[in-house]
Amino acid sequence: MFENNLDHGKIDIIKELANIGMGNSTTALSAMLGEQKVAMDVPEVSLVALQDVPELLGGADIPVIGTYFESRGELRLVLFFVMSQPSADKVVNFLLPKETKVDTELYNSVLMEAGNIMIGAYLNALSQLTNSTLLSTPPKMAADMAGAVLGTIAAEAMIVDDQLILLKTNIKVSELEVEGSILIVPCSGSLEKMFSLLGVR
Amino acid sequence: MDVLQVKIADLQAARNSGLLITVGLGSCLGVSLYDAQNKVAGLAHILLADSKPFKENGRFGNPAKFVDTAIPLLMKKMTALGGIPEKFVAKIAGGSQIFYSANNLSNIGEKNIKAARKILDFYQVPIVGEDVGGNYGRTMRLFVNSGRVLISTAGKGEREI
Repeated sequence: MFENNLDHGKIDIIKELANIGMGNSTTALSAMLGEQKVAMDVPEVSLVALQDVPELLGGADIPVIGTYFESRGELRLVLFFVMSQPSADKVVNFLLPKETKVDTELYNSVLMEAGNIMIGAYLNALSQLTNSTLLSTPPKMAADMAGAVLGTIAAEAMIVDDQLILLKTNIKVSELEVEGSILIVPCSGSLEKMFSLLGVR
Repeated sequence: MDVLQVKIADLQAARNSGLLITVGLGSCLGVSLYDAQNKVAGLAHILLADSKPFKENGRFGNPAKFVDTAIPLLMKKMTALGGIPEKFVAKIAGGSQIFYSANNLSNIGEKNIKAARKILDFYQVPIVGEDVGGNYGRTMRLFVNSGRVLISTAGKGEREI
């Protein structure tokens, strides 16, 4: 089973690490978007039933587009950067030179690369804070119903615990009217590993 | 009409009337079973093919997550509602590959489809309709009074299997 015996002190540590890591991701996104201001909510840490995970994105039938990664190395995490289709369109259009003819392959590569940079920034921060080596798998991308996408991620990452610890933050780029979320799920055993790397009992 | 939502890693059964619906099947597999004579219907939204590795490492939990444990459990629930296993017919949907990547080697959806064929064959439940594979998500609706199954996909409309 999962670590659901976390005390407040440990939850605060998870939140703080998420805050720093996701802050790095937000800075990376801001840099990609020509230093536009990117606002980020304080990350939430929650214990969620596997069956209810799609509700976090507004429901199983909500269309979403997102890039998905797993960290390999000392900590195993599932990381997912997700937006609505109109937000993703705006990011892709901003990143490409004007008048570029965008086909699906180019669209997907641009979005995966943007996700890669953001998630890389998160993992760099976490590597430094925990003094561990974390590598990301190559990006994967999907545009579909939230339920289909999140169910597939759970299957791919073999996250089958009935209850999950989930970290989530929302980000917003007002100027470009882009909104998105970062979801992170530590795989079984990774939180204990992280606390031991940090010397927290 | 009574509508029963079947969530991820969930299964539901009903008798006589109502609608069973599961939204957003990606690599997950939707398995519907129906006994037309007794009007007993069941629907499962299944995550993975095989429970064995998880039974071994103690992370098994809810049996609705796995093809090999969800299908017998669904049959049991339907039998409790008056269904007769010899009368059951199956329709399956989902098992797609919705993730795109430079080197996508994942075949979780395919494994789910294969496992369902094997388990349904083991219980001698014929598959009378299917809409599986591809690279898009599906929503599955099962009408309890008729056994009709409708599949819908964003941008591709609705079809009966």
